[in-house]
Amino acid sequence: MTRDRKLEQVTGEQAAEAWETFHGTDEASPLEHREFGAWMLRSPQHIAAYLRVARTMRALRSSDIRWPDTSPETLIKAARAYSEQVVTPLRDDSAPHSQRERPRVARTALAFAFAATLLVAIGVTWMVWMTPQNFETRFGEQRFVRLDDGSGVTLNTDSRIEVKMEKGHRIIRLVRGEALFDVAHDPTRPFDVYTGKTILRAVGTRFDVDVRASRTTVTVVEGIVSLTHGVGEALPFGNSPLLHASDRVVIDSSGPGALQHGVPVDEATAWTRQQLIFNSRSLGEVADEFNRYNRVRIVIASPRLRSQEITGVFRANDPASFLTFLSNIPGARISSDGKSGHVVTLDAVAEPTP
Amino acid sequence: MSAADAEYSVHAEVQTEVTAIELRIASQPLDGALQEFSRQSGLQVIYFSSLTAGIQSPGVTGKHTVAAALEQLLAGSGLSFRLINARTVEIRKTGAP
Repeated sequence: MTRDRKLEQVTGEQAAEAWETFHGTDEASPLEHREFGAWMLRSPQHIAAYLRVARTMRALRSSDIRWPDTSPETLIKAARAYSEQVVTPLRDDSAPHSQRERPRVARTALAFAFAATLLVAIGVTWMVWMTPQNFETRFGEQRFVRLDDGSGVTLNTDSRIEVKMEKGHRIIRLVRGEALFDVAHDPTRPFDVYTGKTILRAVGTRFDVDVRASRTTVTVVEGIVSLTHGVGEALPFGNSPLLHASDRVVIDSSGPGALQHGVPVDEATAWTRQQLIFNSRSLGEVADEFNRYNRVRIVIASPRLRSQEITGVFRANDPASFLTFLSNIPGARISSDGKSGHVVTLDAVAEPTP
Repeated sequence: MSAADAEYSVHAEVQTEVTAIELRIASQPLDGALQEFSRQSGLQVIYFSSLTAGIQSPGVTGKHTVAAALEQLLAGSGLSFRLINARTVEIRKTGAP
């Protein structure tokens, strides 16, 4: 068993305990139900962990199980929509967590667990199917979601989308983080991505939206996306700027900037392959990018170093190699910040590099 | 660099002399050629961006060791390479400290 799976199991147990506490107390709100459903669907291990806890707490009395009254066809359709969801943990620094002792409730009759897993899985699918669907990743995770219309969404680390599929409309709200949308072609049902004051409309295309604290970056990989910014209820898509393949626009507090053409799309989608591609990016930005994925944080304290530009290709979960590169720079010193971070400074006498 | 890293690096250099990989990299600006090298070899690549400004690479095609391939990609550039660990190539000025 890999360390990642071990980590998933342990966090599953912890979360299951939390959810059991919530179920054991008051009537849960619809929002809490949705969140619980989304959490259950993240991983079969979550379901198993939940059952182990629930059984011990004697919560699986028949009166506590709510049976879905939905047709089997709908359930199967819903289940199929979730089958491709995979959570990819990128970090491999699980050592401190994996030492946690597993709760005693983990010992459960296998046959019972199998049967009950099926029941709860159906119940949860039903619960989520009836409400807008939310998907999210935690820090250091990535995940692919196949939506009901056939569109695919890849979520980067620490990201969240809310999905509403309506008859004439597909609405996705990117609440935080970054997502690559692979839109299934359907001219009768526009695919709108809302983020802040910006709406991006696609019919069948592939584009990346990256929401950061001070700016949002939209990069079109294939097809055409129209952009609307700062309108109220009306959506005047007729005269919105059109982004074509290899176009990019950066939106900040003052609105969308000028359209950039000929952007290397390979760089914008590298994260879906757990890669980081940098073309003339400052060391400060590069460190920030590694810090999006890894608990080992890199802080470049020297302003001179921070502004130096590098070019390169890295695995997102390999900050160690980047640190080695930094440590080889003449005059650079790396010290621990006392936790899991590294601070990079430059000797005052060091010559500018390279 | 720690003693353990140095050992790692020596080991990797030995490997670069032995293992041949199939490459198909066209003549193009060096930045693009190195990115392509990373994609085809699976090795990470890093360097200060100013080093490669305006430099063209002759490219490399066929079965080569990593070392031979990099030497060919960097031919005439005044640049050389070193492995900073078993999976990462750094491009640097020839003769830099």
